[in-house]
This record gives sequence, structure tokens and C-alpha cells, in this order.
Amino acid sequence: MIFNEIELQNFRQYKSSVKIPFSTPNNDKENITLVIAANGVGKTTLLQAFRYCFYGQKSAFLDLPNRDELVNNMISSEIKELDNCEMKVSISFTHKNKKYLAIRRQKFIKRNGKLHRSGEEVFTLSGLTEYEGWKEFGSSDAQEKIQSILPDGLSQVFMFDGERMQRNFADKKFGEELRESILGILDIKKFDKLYDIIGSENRVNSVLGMLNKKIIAPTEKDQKVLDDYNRYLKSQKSLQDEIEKIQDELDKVNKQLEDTKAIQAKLEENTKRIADRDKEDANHNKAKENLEKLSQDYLGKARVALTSRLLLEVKEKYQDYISQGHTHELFYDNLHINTIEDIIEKGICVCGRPVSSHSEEEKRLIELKAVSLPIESAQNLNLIAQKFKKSVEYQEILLELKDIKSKMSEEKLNMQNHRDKSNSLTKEIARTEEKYGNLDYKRYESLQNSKMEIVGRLSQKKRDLELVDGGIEKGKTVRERIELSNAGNRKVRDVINLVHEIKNEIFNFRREKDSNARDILGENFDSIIKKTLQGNYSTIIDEKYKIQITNMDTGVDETSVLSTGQNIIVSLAFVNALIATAKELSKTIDTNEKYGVIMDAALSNLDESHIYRVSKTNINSLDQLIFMSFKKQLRDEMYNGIKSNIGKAYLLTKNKKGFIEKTELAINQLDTFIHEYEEEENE
Amino acid sequence: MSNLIKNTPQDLEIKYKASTYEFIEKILNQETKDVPMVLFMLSLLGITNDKKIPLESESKNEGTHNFSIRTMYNRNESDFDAYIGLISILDNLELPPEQVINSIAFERTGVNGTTFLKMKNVKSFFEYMLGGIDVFNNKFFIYDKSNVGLVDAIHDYLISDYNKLDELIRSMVLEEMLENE
Repeated sequence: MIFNEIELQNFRQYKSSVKIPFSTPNNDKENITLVIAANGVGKTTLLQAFRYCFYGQKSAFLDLPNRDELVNNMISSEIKELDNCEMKVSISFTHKNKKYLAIRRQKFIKRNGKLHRSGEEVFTLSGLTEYEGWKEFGSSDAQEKIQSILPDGLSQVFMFDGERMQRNFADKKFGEELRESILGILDIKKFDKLYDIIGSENRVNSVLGMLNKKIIAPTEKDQKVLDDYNRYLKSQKSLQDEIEKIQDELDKVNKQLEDTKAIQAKLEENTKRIADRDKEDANHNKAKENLEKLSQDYLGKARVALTSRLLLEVKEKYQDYISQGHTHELFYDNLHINTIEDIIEKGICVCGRPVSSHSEEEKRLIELKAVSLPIESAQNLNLIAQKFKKSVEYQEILLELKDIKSKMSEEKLNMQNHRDKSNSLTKEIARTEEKYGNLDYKRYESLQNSKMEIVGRLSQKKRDLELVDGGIEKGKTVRERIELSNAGNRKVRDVINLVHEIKNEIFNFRREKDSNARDILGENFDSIIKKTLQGNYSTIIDEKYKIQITNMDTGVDETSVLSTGQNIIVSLAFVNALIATAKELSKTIDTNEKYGVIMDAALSNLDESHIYRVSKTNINSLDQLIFMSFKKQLRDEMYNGIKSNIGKAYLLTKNKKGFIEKTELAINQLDTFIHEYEEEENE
Repeated sequence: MSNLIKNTPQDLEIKYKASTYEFIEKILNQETKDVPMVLFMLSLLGITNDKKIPLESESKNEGTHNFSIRTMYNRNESDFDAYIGLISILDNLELPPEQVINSIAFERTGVNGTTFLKMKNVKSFFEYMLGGIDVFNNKFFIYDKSNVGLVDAIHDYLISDYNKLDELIRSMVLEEMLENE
């Protein structure tokens, strides 16, 4: 079902005739018609006009305030008393390669200054045939045909407004609406109706009730047994309902207990982390202590090392200098002045030869005396030489120091490793605390107490039910005896049993379809969510159509704490999933047929990255989209995401009289138009 | 044979980088105490970097330090004489060795009547020692003043140019072996 054009005449703010032709998909391109309007300038009315045209004013899916006043309220001032006017919405569309024109109109007459309905609301549907041109369906066929093309339950999917999209998924209303949509998709509402018509023996107006009435009344005594039996039946139903409710409560508390347990487990992991961190800190301090000891050890040896090193550095210079003295012919390292003086004074050499005054020997000794050293200088030079000799120990000391330094490097590395581990644990601890808060044992205790109380109540009700079941079983025997005694009653009972079987089959058939649909929808939804929602999420749709979105990284159910942006992503993913499911399951929806979607999307709360994802993944994948938005929302990410698919664009404005006017916008100037700033914009 | 002339040492008070000196002495004497060697090492650092600071120099906020040279000298006389002598020789390389060795490097208070700290050899030794404090400060306190930071800086210095020193050490060891033969 692809929309070609809508015409609104005197419908709400649309006065006279406003026609809006839509862009139709062309090789999967140009599938978007953009309708730009500020808030309050007819976007929602336009969307609801589709629902009005197809399903009428009384449709449960028409969602407009003051739905009895759909006609433009200014017309009455423009026409004369007793003059007529008409309100009309017509939509032309193509379905299965055939063109259709749907028109819904309502005539009005002005009486006593006010507009009054004149006649019934009229719906006509015409199809374009190859040989006979436009051919109108009969009035009841027309509505049936529309329902077969697009059941009204699906109008929520194919014509949805932004309000719905911002509803929280944990919201009960959402589950109900979702259920409605599914029933629409499955086309099984009629089974519900049939189920209701069959009813039960207690409902006198139902089939079973009426059949029950056919059973001939028993004796007074038997009647009492039957009355008791019926009372037991009522009690059984009421007890079953109560048990179901209590079971729900129990499920809820069990779920809360599980969640609390999971949180406690996470927080207890923190206790282990804290102990690990303390260990890492202790190891860090130990390594630091070792490092300090090693550095003290090193510095203890550094004095000698430094001195030796410096001595080695000056050795050559010193040696060269001293060698200058050695080159002197008369210089002797160990020739002391005191020795020379002693020999001259004694007049005899150390070798025993005499040394006479003025002899050659004495002259030589006097020459030597001039260059010989005082004894202490010789000793000192000797000491200096010893210091230099000792400096070769440098090699050995340096080896020791290198060994210490290498150990220090190891300890530094240890320190760093322990510090890194400790920091990483600190971050994890803080993250967990921020996410799960503090350990609340009281909450767990209080939930356990609630559970005990609920289990107590449940057991009591189950015991009551057992008693009632016993009473019913007893009454059943009596009832069967009474009924068997009456052949007529027996026949009626046979029919009643048969109808019960039919009722059960309907119920099972419906349940199977329902469950099948939920499975398929769940799979589609889960698959789209995994592609579009940032993070690692998994989804479940339970028997009550309650959606649960779980963060797989943390195992926490985040359905009720999704951000607005996430909610919109989830909603759009859901719409895509519903369409996919509708195509897969509905008898009326053709899998290969293309379906247009009308979207009044309030996406203003979306952040830029989400808008981009929405437009890229969800919006562009639709067969045809009539997208209603306002300028500010379209800027940047949104517009960039969809612009290549826009085939037509319109601007809706209000004229001075408050009526809506349509202006078609040139696609090649759309970019400039959208990014023009207008002061009155205050969306 | 004449008797050896004894030195009459004097105590020394420094006002230049006194607390820095105290810090250096503390960290280098952690294992065993050898103040004369610390002084000699600093003096060697001073002379190899050509850094000589007059004894009367002062620096702000560093207080003073008193060296009990009299006690220290009497206990380590031969070491002190060798240290002072070596620095003095290295300080007077432009003069002939006979003059330096006989009259300057090993000069004693009793010879020319000059007081201990006024003698050229002693004065130079301590002046280079003060210069050495600066050199130590600039060279080894580059990371921080923690033991670990100091080790890193000293180690960088000790392992630098090692090949050249290794060659020298080998020749010294060989020379000693030949001497002993």
C-alpha cells in the first residue's frame, strides 16, 4: 500500500481543499516525502486524517482532541443560514499494482448559526480497472476492502505519532497497545469476539448461557446441590484469579530478589577487589621498601666508586706530569735528601767506599742532594701511587653496583605493576559502586519477608482452591446424575460439551498464533536492537507483551531506565520489527507488497549520534515514508541521514486567518531552506 | 737523620653550600663513615671540572658547617697528606715537578711558618672541595634528591665512557704484575 496523494477539505485547520501529492518509491530511492511544519501547524492532524479517511470518526484509533468537532470551525461564519458544506478527506493509493481512491465525507448544514451534521458519514472506495475505469465498491464492501488491505489495528504501526515513541517500554499501556497491534497483525480479533459470544454457562446472554438455560430444572434438593455447585464454580474462578494475582506478585518479588542478589554478587565481587587492591598496595609498598634499601646499599658503595672513578680520570694527567721528573737524569724516586746528608756527614758511602771532602764522589753527592726528595715527600708520592693502584677496584665495585641497579630496576617494575593493578582495581571498585550503590542487606531481608508472606497467602489460597475443587467434583457427580436422568438435558449437555471443545480449540488456536507471533516479533526486534542500539543488549517479550531490555555486559534489566534517546531507538526498532512481523504473519499483509508509513516523529530529544543511527538504520529502510517534522529537528545529522532519499518536500504554514497552507519546496534548495535560521523558531 | 716536621692543622668553618654538603656527606656515608674520602672525592670533582670556590664564600639559607679538621687530620694524617698533595700537584701542572713536589704539594705548617688553612696546598684542596659541592649538586641531583633519583644520576655517570677506563685499568693491572715479578 503506497500512498499517492491526500486531499483534506474543511478538516480541522485545513480549509477549502489542500492537496498533498507524495513521493512514491523509485527503485528504492526517493521514498521519503518530507512535511515540514512548526508545532501546532497541522502535522498531527494530517496523520490522523489518514486514520479518519480509512476507519472513520468512530474508530478507536482516531486520536484527536474533540473528535466530534472535526469540521473546520470557521466555516459556519462564512456560509449563510441553512446553507450546506462538506468535510472530506480523500486518499489515493496503490496496492498490488492497482490504484484506489478512498473518500470519507460528512455533510453539514448551518442552523441557528451553528453547523450540524446532515446525514451519515459516507465512505467510498473506488478501484481503477483496466477496462471499466474507476469502479466503486459497495458501501459495506468498501470498508471490508480497506480492512483487508490495512486492518485498523495496524494503523498504529503504519501511521504512528511521536508521542507513542517516547512512551517508556516498561509502561503497562505500551504492552496493551502492543497486544492490540499484534492482534491486528494476526487478524485474530474475530476469534476473541467468537470466544466472547460463546461465553460461559453463567452468562445468560452467551451461547453457553443460553444452552444452559435449556437444561430442565431439577428437584429442590438437587437444585440446592446445583446451586452449591455453581457457587463453588464462582469461588473457583475467583480463587484462580486471586492465585494468579498472588503468583504475579510472587514472580515480581522473585525477580526483585534475583536482581538484588545479582547486585549483591556484584558488590561482593568488590569486597574481593578491595582485598586484592590492599594486597597490590602492600606489594607495592614492599617493592618500594626494597627499592629504598637497594638504593641505600648502592649509595653506601658510591663514595668509593666515585673516588676511584675520579682518580682514574686524572691518572694519565698525573702520571704524565710525574714522568717529567723521571726523565731528569738526576731524579730518583726513592733518593731521600736525609740519606745524602748522612753519607756526606759520615764520609763513607753505603757501599763502604770513603767519601772525602772535595772529592769527585762528594761533588756528585752534592749534585744529587739538589734534586733528591725530602723523605716525607717521597712517602706521600708513594701514598698517592697506592691510591691510584687501589682505584683499579673500580671495575669490581661497578659490577656490584650494576647488580644492585638491575635489582632496583626490577623493583621499580614491580612497583609500577602493583600500582597499575591497584589503580585498575580502584577504578573497577568505583565503577561498581557507582552502578550498584552500596550493599543493602536490609532490602534483601525485606524482600525475603515479603516473599514469605506472599508464599503464605498463596498456600492458603491453594488450600482453599483444593477444598472448592473437591466441592465441585462432588457437585459434578450429582449434577451429572441429575442431567443423565433427563434425556433432553443430556442432549443439551452434549451440545454444551461440544461448544466447550470448540471454545477450547479457539482458545488454543489463538494462543498458539499469539505465541508464534510473539516469538517472531521477539526475534525481529532483538535482531534490529542488536544492530541499532549502542552496547550489548538483549530483548525478551513475555506472555503479557511486556518488553524487557537487558544489558548483557552487566546482566541488568535496563528497560525502565533507558534514556530518551535509547527509548526512541527502541521504539523505531520496534516499528521496523512490527512491520517485518506484519509482513511475515498477517494474512492481509502481502510479504512482497510495499507499505507506506506515515510518521509524526517527535525526535527533538534525540542526541546527534542517535539521530544519525535512527535515520540511517530505521527511517531509510522503510518502503515509503511520509515524514512530518520541524526545521530544527531536521538540521545536520537528521537531514544528512535521509536527504538522499527525499523525493518531495512541503512546508505547512498558517495564514493570517489560521488556516493551513501548503507550499512545495524545491529539493535542490532544501538544504539551504532547512538551515536558514528563523527567529520565530522555538520548537 | 732529621726528624719529620709535623703539620699543625686548624678546624674549618664553611658558609658556602653548607647544608648541601651535609646532605651529600649524609648520603655517601650511609654504610661506613669516611669524611676525608668524601672531601677528597668532592675536591677531585671540583678540580676535574675546574671549579674552585674561595673559602670565605657564603651562600644564602644554607647555614654553616664546621669541620673538626684537627681531630680528623690527626686520625688520618697520611691519607690527608696524600689527598692534599695529589690535588695540589694537579693544580700546579704548569710548574716543574721538583718545585711542586718539594715545596708546594707537601708543604707543612712548620716549614715556612704559614698557618694550616693559608698554605697553598691545603687552601686549594678545600677550595676545590667547595667547587665539588656545586658540581655534585648540578650533576647528581638532576632527577630529585631521593636516594633512588640520586642512584639513577650517579649510575649514569659511573657507566659513561667505561671502555676508555677499562683499557686504563687493564694497563695498570698489567704494570703492577710486571712490577711484582
